[in-house]
Amino acid sequence: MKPVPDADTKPYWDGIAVGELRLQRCEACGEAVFYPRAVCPHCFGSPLTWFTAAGTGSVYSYTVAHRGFGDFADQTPFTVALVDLDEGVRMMTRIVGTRQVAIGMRVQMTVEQIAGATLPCFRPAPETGEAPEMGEAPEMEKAPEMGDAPRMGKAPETEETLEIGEAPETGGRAR
Amino acid sequence: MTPRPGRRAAIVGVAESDVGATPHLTVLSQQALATQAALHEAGLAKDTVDAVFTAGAWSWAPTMTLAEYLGIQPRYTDSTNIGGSSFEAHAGHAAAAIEAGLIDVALITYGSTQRTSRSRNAPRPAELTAQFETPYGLPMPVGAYALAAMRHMHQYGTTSEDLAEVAVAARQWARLNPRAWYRDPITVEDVLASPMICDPLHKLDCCLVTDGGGAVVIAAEDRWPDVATQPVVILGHGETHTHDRISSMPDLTVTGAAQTGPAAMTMAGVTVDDIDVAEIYDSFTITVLLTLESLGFCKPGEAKDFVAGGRIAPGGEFPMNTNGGGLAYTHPGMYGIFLLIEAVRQLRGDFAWARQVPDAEIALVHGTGGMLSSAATVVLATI
Repeated sequence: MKPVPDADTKPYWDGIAVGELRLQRCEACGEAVFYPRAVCPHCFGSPLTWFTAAGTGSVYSYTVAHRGFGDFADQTPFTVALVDLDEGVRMMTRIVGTRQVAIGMRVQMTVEQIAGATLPCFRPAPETGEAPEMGEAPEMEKAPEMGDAPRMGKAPETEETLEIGEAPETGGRAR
Repeated sequence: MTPRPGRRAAIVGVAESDVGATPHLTVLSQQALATQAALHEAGLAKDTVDAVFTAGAWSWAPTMTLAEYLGIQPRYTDSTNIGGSSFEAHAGHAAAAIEAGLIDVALITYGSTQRTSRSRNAPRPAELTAQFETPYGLPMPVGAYALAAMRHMHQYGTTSEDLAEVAVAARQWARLNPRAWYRDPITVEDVLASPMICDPLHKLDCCLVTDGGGAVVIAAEDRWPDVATQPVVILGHGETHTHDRISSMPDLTVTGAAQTGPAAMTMAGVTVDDIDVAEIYDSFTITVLLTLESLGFCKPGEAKDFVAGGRIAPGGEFPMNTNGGGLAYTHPGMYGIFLLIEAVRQLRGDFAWARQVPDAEIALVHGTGGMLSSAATVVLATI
């Protein structure tokens, strides 16, 4: 099922189309904000400025779906997770490239095609090596505040990486 | 107990429609028949009703549709929909309106034909905030509760066996309820052997999908001398929502009950130790564990011990979900009204047999809605 981008979220989806995970940061209080919106939910300030996130984080929780409906019925089992990004926000995603998922596991963004939609998903981060045993995963410390979030180039080319069909708008690039 | 400043409100009539599979009923006839029965029980005429509360996705303006069908022109109308806990919130709103002198008799109703109409999993567009969750295909709401269960297991060592205890106890209570959908007993092993839906939640960790409706009539204390039932007073109430989408839940192991439970009990002038019977929303087994902890019946992570060894089953120290709950009695999508109905009957001593909690004087009712999103608590008492 395809997401329906809107005036708040178009820069986010434009970023995903070129392999970038774009978040907002509140210029008033400095907090990172996800999902995109017009006013900061923390200090209620504005504006919120787009930046490109590192695309790294850790698994806060996950589940393996053994039932799916509609477009997703033939995809089971699949792993859906909540990932805490290093910038301090949480998002829902799919974990791909492994069945060995654990809470606390370090993950890295990859863009995937799921049921016709181009979506940010996550795979185990390279430095993680072996996934920790389930239930024994260490709690990851929250990453320190990043003054200037590093930029990610295009997602690495793998067979699961999206082929970009629609040309991204260069004007939508994160500042 | 701290007396409330204004007029007191009490539940004076409760009823269900037929529940289970009701192809002979509509969402409107369910609510009308339940209302008729609840008003009849209370001995109140329909024309005394001056406030209507309902929630559902069957109308763009549910109270307007319902009140028209019932032939009621209210002076107070409230279609607040916060999911399964809507009706606990409605009870609080009604009590506040009665206390303020705005209304005398409030009607809260619910109806659903989701089982018969197979409307449960109709796809909704991935727009607004849903665009960041729906495209990942997680079946909802079970997937959201599974994420919470996985996190609780990670933090506290809770196991699938611990969760299953809740389902096993629900079936034991359901054996005592002739209207329950599932009345055959199950074991922890049965729950673990049932198909995995979203890890770690099995089929038998999940509530039923049934049809059904209900009605609750609430009256100001000036009306109590006229009613035919023993009034059950609303001593306290609290409501909140912490998020809508599960990815925005601040902490997957703490629900809004951590706010609404203390708020309702403080208003009522009671503590967890005063509660004789509890009706706790059980959309999934994990819902109960999280709620018991958040309400303060036990410490975070200790609900597995709280429910162990039959403590919440018939004859246990903590009588809970005494109708079999959403896991075994009925669950027509938004179950909260049935929590109120059962608590009222327990406090009135309506049951002559094992289902009756002896000498129950104070009940705590707690609804949970959405993806662990909303919470509403009501404390009820005999007078």
